[in-house]
Amino acid sequence: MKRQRIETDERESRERQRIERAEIAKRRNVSSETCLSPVRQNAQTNTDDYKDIISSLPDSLLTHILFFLPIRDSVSTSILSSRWRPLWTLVPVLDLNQAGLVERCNEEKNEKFKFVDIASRIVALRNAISNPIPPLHKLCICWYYNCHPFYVDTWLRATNIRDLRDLDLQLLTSPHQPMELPRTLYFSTSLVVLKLGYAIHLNPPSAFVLPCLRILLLNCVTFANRDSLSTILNACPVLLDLSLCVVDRYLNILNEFNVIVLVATLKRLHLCWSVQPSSKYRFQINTPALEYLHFRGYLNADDVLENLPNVVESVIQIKDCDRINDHAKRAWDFVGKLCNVISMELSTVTAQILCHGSNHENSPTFRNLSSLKFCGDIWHEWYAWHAVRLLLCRAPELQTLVFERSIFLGSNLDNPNPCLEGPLDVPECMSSHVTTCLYEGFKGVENEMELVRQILKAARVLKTMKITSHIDLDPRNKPSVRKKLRKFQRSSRNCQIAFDKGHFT
Amino acid sequence: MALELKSSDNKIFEVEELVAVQSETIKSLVEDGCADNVIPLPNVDSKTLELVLDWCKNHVDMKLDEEKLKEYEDKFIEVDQAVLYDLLLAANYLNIKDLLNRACQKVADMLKGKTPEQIRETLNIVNDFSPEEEEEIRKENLWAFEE
Repeated sequence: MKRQRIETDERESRERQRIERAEIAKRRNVSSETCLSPVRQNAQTNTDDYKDIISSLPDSLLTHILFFLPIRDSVSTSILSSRWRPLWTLVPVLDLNQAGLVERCNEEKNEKFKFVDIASRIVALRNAISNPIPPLHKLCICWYYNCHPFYVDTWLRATNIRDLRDLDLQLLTSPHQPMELPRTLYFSTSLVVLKLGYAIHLNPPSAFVLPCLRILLLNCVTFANRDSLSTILNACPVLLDLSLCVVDRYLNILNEFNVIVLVATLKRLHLCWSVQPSSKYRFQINTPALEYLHFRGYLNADDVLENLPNVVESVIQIKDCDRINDHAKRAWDFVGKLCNVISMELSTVTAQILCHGSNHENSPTFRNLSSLKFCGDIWHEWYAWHAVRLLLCRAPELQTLVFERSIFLGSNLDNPNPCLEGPLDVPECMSSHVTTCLYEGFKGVENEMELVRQILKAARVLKTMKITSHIDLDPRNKPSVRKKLRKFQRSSRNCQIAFDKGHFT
Repeated sequence: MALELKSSDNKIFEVEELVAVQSETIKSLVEDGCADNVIPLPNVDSKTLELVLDWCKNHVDMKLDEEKLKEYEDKFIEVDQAVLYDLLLAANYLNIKDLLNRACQKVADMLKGKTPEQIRETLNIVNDFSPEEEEEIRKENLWAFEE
């Protein structure tokens, strides 16, 4: 009975509303076919005043538009009209990058407004114009030249960090004292991303928790004592992504420093370890959930890498150092921990180091490796095919082989390649699995041509060989390169070669 | 499964659920079981709704082709101001994040690098400051108004 009454009531109220709407429509003299949006209705009925359409949007949408503007343009809108004046302060993001705010950063003293002046003014006004102070979700400060960390410390302390989710401070080239983070930051219950670089000194409290922190980046920062980093990592129960750049020169004041990464939740790790093997610093990594590992640096006898069965993608850039045979053994041990990897990228220096330890007893087999990439200043002096073959022999299911020329990954080893002797077996994967080969940055030099020739000869099921030329390759030489490539013997009948834009089978 | 959406001018659009639920607003209605009948959208007219549904459909179709999708988005957003604001309001009301962001980005691009006078002209904003008030704001943010 009661439900029937409610239903009747609803029906009646809907009927009433429908009648009301019809009346209003009649009054407006708008037919149902030409029904205009409220925005355009305003524009039409007030043509005399020429009322601006954009101002009929609510504050939240105008603020959302300002979010997509660089800070200078956003602040400039404060002069448009009284409605617009406070809107830029409502954007919950502050991105203060010296390069974007000052014309010539390295000659700042000649500029009328230096970064410190502009950033101070922005922070002060944001806290003064709107009441209450609008929440800030993301704060980025990037200060390249003549950085005064003290000011950044001030701005951070003047900001309400209660709602801060993302903090990114990169304070480079500072002759001044580094800043420490305000203590309240270590107890933030909202922080999800924390990225700190250079002139920042980490002195964490002995016990704290960052319950929401998922992404942490520490780039060449200094630490108060040898356990500072461990303390921070232990305080992050849901950490997914960690990037650490450790340079021993920055650690010199510490007698000992432990980089112990024991984070059960970690999925991504990027470790840049510019610590000479002769130093006293060590790293230990034990991350069972890790899926992606990027390592760049030196290996020391006491460095420990364990529990990495889930790593599916890795980038390895081991740096060259003395005592190459020991280093090679360590390199194999390191790479061996990643034996389940599906996609791997090695710098050519790493490949050369591994060559030196090629008689290593426990060299691993990469059963799941499907894609292998060599990246670096390729094939300068040495016989490339041997290093490649060595690794291919350990990747029986490999499908894709990639070469990429890059000048940023160190120059080649001084030690001569030991692999020049001995017969050349064709790796198993070349006969049965490799279907795609890519070469980016081809210059057409002798070593490269030889490498391509060997691959085409050995790869029985190759479908695609795609070569893209390097910018240094003179276009006039391209036809002769193409001619040579075409002549190479191909083991695979269906193999198609693509050289830049030209395909030929 | 198909849904029926009704625009403010009483035009009915039949659309696949997969396409329509790109709108978080519609998605909530579906999840709460309120989408059996026609869903009224009194804040969106038929012309705008047609555009919005085109956006949604293409985002389902081209989901895996990033390049093609970007090409489509760039072309889609080349509309005049009035249509752009209608799209903005509709994307806001229907809670379609990528459309909202793209439309806001487009308006922002219109404002970037322009002087206040130029912006006022482009957007037909009326300056309601007195000359003294305007001068005061200019002083407040002198660094931003330098050439």
